Amino acid sequence: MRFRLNEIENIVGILPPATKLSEELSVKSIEVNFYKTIGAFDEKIVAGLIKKVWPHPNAERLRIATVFDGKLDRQIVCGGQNLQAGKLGILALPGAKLPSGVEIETTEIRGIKSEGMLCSAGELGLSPSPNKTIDYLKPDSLKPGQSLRHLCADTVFDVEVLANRPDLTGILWIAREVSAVFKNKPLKLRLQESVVKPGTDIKIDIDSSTKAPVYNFAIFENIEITESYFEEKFALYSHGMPAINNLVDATNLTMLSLAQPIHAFDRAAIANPISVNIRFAKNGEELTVLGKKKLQLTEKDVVIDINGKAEALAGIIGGDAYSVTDKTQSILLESANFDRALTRRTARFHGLQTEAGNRFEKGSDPHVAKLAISYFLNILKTTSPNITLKSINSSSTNQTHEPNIRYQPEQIRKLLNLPTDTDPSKYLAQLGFETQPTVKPPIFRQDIEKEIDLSEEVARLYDLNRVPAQPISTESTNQIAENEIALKRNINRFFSEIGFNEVINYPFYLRPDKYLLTDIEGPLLTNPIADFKSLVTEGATNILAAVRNNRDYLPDSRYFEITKSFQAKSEESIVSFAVQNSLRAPLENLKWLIGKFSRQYNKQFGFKPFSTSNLNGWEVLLDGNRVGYLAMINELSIKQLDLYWPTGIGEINLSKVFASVSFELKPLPQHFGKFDSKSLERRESVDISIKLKGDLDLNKINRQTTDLLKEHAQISSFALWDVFESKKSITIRFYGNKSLDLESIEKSLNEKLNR
Amino acid sequence: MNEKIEEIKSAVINALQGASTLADIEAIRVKYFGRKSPFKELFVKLAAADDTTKREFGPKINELKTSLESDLEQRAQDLTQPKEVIDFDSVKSQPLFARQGSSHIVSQMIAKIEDIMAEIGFQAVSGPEMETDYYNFEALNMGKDHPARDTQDTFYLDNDLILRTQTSAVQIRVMEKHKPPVKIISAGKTYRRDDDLTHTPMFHQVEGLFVDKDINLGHLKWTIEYLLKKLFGKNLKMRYRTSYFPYTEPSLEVDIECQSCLGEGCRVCKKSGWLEVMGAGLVNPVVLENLKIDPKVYTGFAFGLGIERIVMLKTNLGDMRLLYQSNLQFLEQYK
Repeated sequence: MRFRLNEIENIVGILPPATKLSEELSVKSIEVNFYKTIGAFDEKIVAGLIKKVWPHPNAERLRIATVFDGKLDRQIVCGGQNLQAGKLGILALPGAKLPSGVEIETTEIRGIKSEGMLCSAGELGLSPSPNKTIDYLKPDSLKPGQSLRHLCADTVFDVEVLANRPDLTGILWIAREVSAVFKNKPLKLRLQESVVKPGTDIKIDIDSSTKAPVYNFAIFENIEITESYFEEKFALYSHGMPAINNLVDATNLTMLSLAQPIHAFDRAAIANPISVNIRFAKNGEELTVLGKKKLQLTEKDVVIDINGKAEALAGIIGGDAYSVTDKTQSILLESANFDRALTRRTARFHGLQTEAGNRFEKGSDPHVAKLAISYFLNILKTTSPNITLKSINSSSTNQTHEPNIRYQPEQIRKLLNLPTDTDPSKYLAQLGFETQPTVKPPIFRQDIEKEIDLSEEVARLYDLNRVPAQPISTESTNQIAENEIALKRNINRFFSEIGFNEVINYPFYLRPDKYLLTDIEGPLLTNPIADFKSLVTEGATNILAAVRNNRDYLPDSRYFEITKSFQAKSEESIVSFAVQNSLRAPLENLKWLIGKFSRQYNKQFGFKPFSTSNLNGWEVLLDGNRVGYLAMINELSIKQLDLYWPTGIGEINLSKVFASVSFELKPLPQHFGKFDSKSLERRESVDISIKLKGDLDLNKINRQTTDLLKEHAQISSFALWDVFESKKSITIRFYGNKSLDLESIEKSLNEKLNR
Repeated sequence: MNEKIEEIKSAVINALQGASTLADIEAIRVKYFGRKSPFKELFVKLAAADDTTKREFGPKINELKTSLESDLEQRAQDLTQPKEVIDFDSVKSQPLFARQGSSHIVSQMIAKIEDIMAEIGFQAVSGPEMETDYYNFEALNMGKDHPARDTQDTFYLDNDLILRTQTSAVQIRVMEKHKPPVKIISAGKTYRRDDDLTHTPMFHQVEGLFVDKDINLGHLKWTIEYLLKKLFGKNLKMRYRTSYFPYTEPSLEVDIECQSCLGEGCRVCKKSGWLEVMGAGLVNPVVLENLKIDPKVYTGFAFGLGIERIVMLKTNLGDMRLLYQSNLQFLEQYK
């Protein structure tokens, strides 16, 4: 939702500067996403009175106008099809810069001198499409020669209206809120409903189960469809809406001001006598809505039935059949209110996100419906002065909302921790709430129903930042049986301390995935996004992705992930792990790992060989039950799974292994360094071959190489790249960042390692 | 003879690729290397040939035989269930390189927050990731058509469960079983149907809850300040804004001074100088009533924050998706 500072100040008076306004509004009322200056046009773009218009001698599509700029009459050549003497146009004087960057000069157009340009909203950067017409200002808005910026320069605020404040989707109601926050008093708005005798020409029935509280159908006649004045267009643009014509613009401006969506049907298209029925649709009933979209309705959709046929989707979008056209002269204006839950359900079901729907589904104020009719009339009168409001036909169901809430200031102070001399009624009064003898919220605050709602109002207007903090007791209250967290931390430490890196994956299987390692999928996502298809039942498929991602530069690596195995009715915690090694060492690693694991956790595992199309390994058994496995990816699958190097994987079901073991909660080591994006750059590497003097002792080489690393800051890691046992030599690949001085490092390492 | 050699070679390889059991392998062995096999025939022919032929083809045939037999062995191994009876205790010292391992930065952050909260008596608890609509929404005062559900686009599963959109569901599970006082912190994976620059379909939240007699808004503020100052330093500037969540009232959001520009206004904080880090509030009495806890006797507060957001602020990480790409160069930064 957006509003302009000027339109609020016009109602409530002078406000603090934008920075402060934004800050305080965010704290006490609605969050301001951003604010920006708009309409600060060049000083040389001014109001110009068009005095005389005559044809261009050398061009059919151009005409010449005499335009008074406040001092002189200027001759302007103009292509605007609606150019008309007596109107107040927007004149860009020579030297004026348009928002597009174009500078206006005195030129000759087809042999006729033109001292400036008459502008359209498009040329002022407000609408995306180029106009064939020019725009006019209201006759009394500016004097000829006055800069347009006097009228338009403004700050527009983009605010986040939350679900509990549907009233804040209307500018007038934002003004009401701003007054409470900045003027410390409720706003007295003088809005009058037009006095018209209630119409009897239209029969309106509301099916009470649709929960529509009120329905008005106003008949307007003698309408002239034309373009809106620039002021209206500018208002629409500043709220991010397009200008269409004076009639549609007036409905949109009414909605923007009052948060009351209204809809116009072409009166002439509807046969007499008219009967309207607000009812649920029949299953399979069809409705073509604006934009020619055909909907198949269901019995959960509320429709506006006119003369026996669904002609609009209640509160969301109008039908195509009776839509207004350029020829429309009389209309039926619907101004109603619909149930928020039903509106929301229908909008979601048909995928229709509309401005109207967005307002109704938050729950808008039914009392505004009638007022909107008069408001609309006042706007449209400026461009269609002969318009008449013939009658308003109304129907309503008994859905009034008039809560009486107990006022207990002591309770409010206590809950909010406010000083004893704080008077909550002061803040409630700012919002227009009566507090004696019970609290009566203003009629537009449909969200206020209970005592707790009052506390929220008081808290925000008091200012949450002023509420004094109060220490809590630091004692633990009750001991809830919980072992999962301590267990997971323990497992996490076990793996990370022995050289495994923890990874976290989305626990999903992808759609056709050539890397899938199992036939058993977990529960399917019924509304998937991207390629995610189902939940995982094992960790190997995802952890092998980690191996694949890193294999090109770090073939010697180990990973673990503590994740879930999702079944139809349950989820179990598992730890999944993988070892990739350039030697045939993964198997040794797995054996070592499970040995260490069983000693650490004092588990006597049994092992049973198994193989699948990808794996050869052992099931891990505990008391005869399968609780995991260890396996090597077989030679053929290494290639098929794009792993390249020998890889071993395994999994242990933590829920099963540790079902009855309790762990002590211990901290995890923490390293919160600043992120270094350079470390992600592709690494450079250098291979050093070493001749072995005795037998191959990998641990010794490992120790010595690790020591060596300490002396060479540019080197970040190393991997055993290749071993030629017969030749008694070994190759180690050293990795560093891009700036690695390969030659000098190679020389230095060679010397040290081969010593 | 050359043709014959090639013929045998391709026949054996084809047969091996088609083999799916050990019996198949054995059949191949008998067929191609047994007594009446093509190889036997080749050797018979070779024995009868002249010296030049012997010199030319002898080594070739031998080489082929060795190579094919090794392929046969390899395939047999692939198909064989491992026979080795492993003595897992035999490998006592760590084989090969001891690169230092690491816990994921997200796990580290969760542990850190849980530990900070433990200092002031909050017990860390966990809950399921597949949830019912009741625990995730309805019990938290978000009925079927509540507009606040829009902000939590939900993954639905074919087993009538959903993936939890928030850790708040754990509140309900705990309070169902434990009457106040309840003082818990619950961190874990949560899911929303979003996948773009600033949203991942899975992310982590941590939720704190304290329900007891006479809990007030001041207690909430003190607790939030305790946690955030422990995370970001004792001079941290904070701001509270009014907000709306169906399960708390009053609801508020907490901003901290932008860690990038220190309040000056920059791209990270969209020039506001503030960064939103937390949603919080006093537990809505409706939620307590749903749990048969008398809101006239007990009040409480709850707060929730996104772990990824905190990690990113704490480490200056710009792209959230790096957390879940298993890039070892990234993971190893946090060890």
